Amino acid sequence: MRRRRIGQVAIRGLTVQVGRMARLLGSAMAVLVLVSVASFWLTNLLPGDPATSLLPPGSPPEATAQLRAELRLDDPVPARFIHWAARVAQGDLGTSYRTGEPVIDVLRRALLVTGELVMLVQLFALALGVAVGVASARYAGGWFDRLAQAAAFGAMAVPGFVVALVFLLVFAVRLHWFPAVGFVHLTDDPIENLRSMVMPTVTLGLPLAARYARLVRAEMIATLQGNHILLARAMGIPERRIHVRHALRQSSFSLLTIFGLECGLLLGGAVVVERVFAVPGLGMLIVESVSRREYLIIQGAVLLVGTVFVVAGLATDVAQSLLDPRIRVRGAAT
Amino acid sequence: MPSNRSMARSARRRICRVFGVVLCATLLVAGGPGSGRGVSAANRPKTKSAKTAKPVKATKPPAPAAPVTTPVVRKKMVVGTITEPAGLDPAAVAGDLTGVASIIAIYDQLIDTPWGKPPRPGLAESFTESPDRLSWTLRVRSGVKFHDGTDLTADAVKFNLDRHRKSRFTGVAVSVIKGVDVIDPMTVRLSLDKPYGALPNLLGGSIGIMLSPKAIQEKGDVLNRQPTDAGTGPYILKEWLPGDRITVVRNPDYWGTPKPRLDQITFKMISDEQSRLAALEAGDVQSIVTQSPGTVRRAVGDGFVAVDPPAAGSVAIFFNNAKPPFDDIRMRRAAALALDTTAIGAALGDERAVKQGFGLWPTDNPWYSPAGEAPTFDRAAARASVNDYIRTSGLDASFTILYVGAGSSTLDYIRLLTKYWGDAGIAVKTSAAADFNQLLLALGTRQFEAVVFGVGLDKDPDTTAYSVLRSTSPANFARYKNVEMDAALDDGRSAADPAARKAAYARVQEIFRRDVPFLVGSSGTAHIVSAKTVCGIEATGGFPAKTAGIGNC
Repeated sequence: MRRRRIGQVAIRGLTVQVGRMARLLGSAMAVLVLVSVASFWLTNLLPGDPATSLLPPGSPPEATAQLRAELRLDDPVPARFIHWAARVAQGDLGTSYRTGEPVIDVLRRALLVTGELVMLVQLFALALGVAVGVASARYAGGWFDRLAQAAAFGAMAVPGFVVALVFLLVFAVRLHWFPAVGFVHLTDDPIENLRSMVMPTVTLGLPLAARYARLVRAEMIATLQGNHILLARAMGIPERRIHVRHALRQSSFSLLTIFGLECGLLLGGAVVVERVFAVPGLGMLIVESVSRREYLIIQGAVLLVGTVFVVAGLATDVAQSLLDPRIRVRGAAT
Repeated sequence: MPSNRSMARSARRRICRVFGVVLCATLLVAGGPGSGRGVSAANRPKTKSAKTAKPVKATKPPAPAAPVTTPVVRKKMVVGTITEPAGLDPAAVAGDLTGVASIIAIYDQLIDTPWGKPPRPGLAESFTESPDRLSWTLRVRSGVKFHDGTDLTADAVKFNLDRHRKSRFTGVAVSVIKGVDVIDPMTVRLSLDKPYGALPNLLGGSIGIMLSPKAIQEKGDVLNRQPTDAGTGPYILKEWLPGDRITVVRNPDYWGTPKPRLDQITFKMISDEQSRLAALEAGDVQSIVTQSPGTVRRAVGDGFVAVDPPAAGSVAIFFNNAKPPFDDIRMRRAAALALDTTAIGAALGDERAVKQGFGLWPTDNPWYSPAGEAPTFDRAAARASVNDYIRTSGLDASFTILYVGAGSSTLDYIRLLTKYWGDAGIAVKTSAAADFNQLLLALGTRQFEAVVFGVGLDKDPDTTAYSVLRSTSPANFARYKNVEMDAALDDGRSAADPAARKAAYARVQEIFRRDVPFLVGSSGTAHIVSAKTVCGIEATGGFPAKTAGIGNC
């Protein structure tokens, strides 16, 4: 009888979790559809179109009309969107108007670069931000805390392109420590790959680390005033262990949320750094594609970035529910 | 005896220490000043900032028995370019690709058309015009092989030219050729419906680039991005990563001279001006292309060498000649008279703005002519002309100028023009286009009053002048109509004798200066700046016309 009851509770819990995931996936799909529709519509508001971009200036109107018809640019926007969505559903994102290269290959190439950059930036920012944040919270009000806060403000206040140019002139031109521009693939040369990514990583990572440090510091200071911390101290648990094991874990939920969002933001938003360091990533691809009216690449890139945002959001939710049982309980209760 | 917990703790600490040491070592290796990439360390110039630069050393000692022309030092080179070609198939891309470095490296043209010199044989070892001037006979050079091993023949030439004639991108440019006939395996005849003296120049551009018919047929749609083995040039395409770089490798069986001196050239797209210069100074690239006179001055000051090519393009201000206020010649002339080109050139640091004056061709262009009265700076005359226009037409002397480019040089140029026009009593509104496409749209629909747009100055005057000034040309953006000009352009196009052509284009220049259909102002010519270790870059329009000759000094 007891075993049967336990089984029923487990099944109910599983059903709740599955239902929750289904709702999350449903809302994620809705977000992706909305983002795609909006970007498709906005892209079509841009002056000119792929035909005017591809053909030489002063081309005969008949040639322009023929190309427009071939590219289906004369169709109404909703009809074109449905046509595009139907092909996407079959895994076909189309081809570049300019080079004829499949969009999926174009995106894959850019994603490999930006994906690595995002990963390195997050590793750098987490390592630096969490360490500084924890230390600032521990010595709140002390000289280290004040120094760290000032540095964090500085890192967030200075525009990224200024930092990038300073790094370029100091570490590439003056010291020759790192290459000024370019990207070397990991498979081609791992050491050169690391060297080519150091300056873009640090440029993007510094303000992010500053944000992480401020967040961790604020959360830690609040957590350290909790009763469970007081109890831990009363039990004689070493201070370092209290900070790392008890306070940091509880303070990391907000960090996790921001981490997920930043992954999506960095994916398409690293354009300034990509331009300065000539890194052929997703941000530069989107900018170039807009200026060349590569509608299909723009759509594919928006869909990709949107998917990463949604997946990062889902992963954050799952991670939070794993770290904090109260979320699971609240989910089951509802 | 230590407990399990303390043992685990010490093990964790050891792991952390090892990890830390490995991380530090990796960073040291990655960031060490001696770990330059490729040939960058060797090719790094002795600049003020590059104190650690090493002298150039040949990788191999010269072979004693080798002839003088045999390349001794073969290395890699990286060139920083502003942009990349729209495609690598000349028949699938609008515009002339022969100014694009990577294109020139992998292809050859039927006729070689150096700046300021008469056309000379290329893949066609001879080209002769028929007595009735309605056909040209081309004798194809024997022994030339495409990179895929197939032979260049008359059939291949016909295949390529017919392909251009059917192309929506290049069909208009090649419309003067009415038929291509193969006379024998190595001879081809091009039929025209009227004499065309600029045909050698046409075959020295994109139209004259020959690709392997086998590669064209086999590659299909892929050809535009991967024309591997399709060309005949000194280098073979290795890879094109759009948005990143184009890499070419030496063609060991190159037919022409000089033979390629480098093993590999990488054309790296660096769109940011500062980054491109920094890459040169850091030694990551050995040569850069720039349109900024400021960049050239700074690089030369740091010990680099600049090649100043003849103007291959200029910034023009197109007036809409069919719409007020520029449908009135007084306003067009007033707009020219109001501008002090010397002061503008000095302010921009661009001496080409002075050389250009308001003629169609700058003073160092082989087709330059002093004929006609060039509008020279005269603010009082400009004011008088403007007042006369306002009084007789009853309209305002005002217009909106559309431009694109957030670059400081473009903005500086626009600000200067606006100031000078304002001083002459012309009210100007500036309108920044979202991007180049908006500009093209405005030009195509003629919905503008004035537009800042580039004019390519080709080696032959027919190419540009005919398309932007002939009343029937679809690229006559200014909507300028003048029967005298049409006649002069037709004369220049059809004349066979170089002297007669020069006279015809002198007449074009004269009428242009009188009517001022548009202004040709500050030059947008691409300069090439290189490390001192790089030799063989010719001063030609666009990036090196002959990449084969480039190598280490």
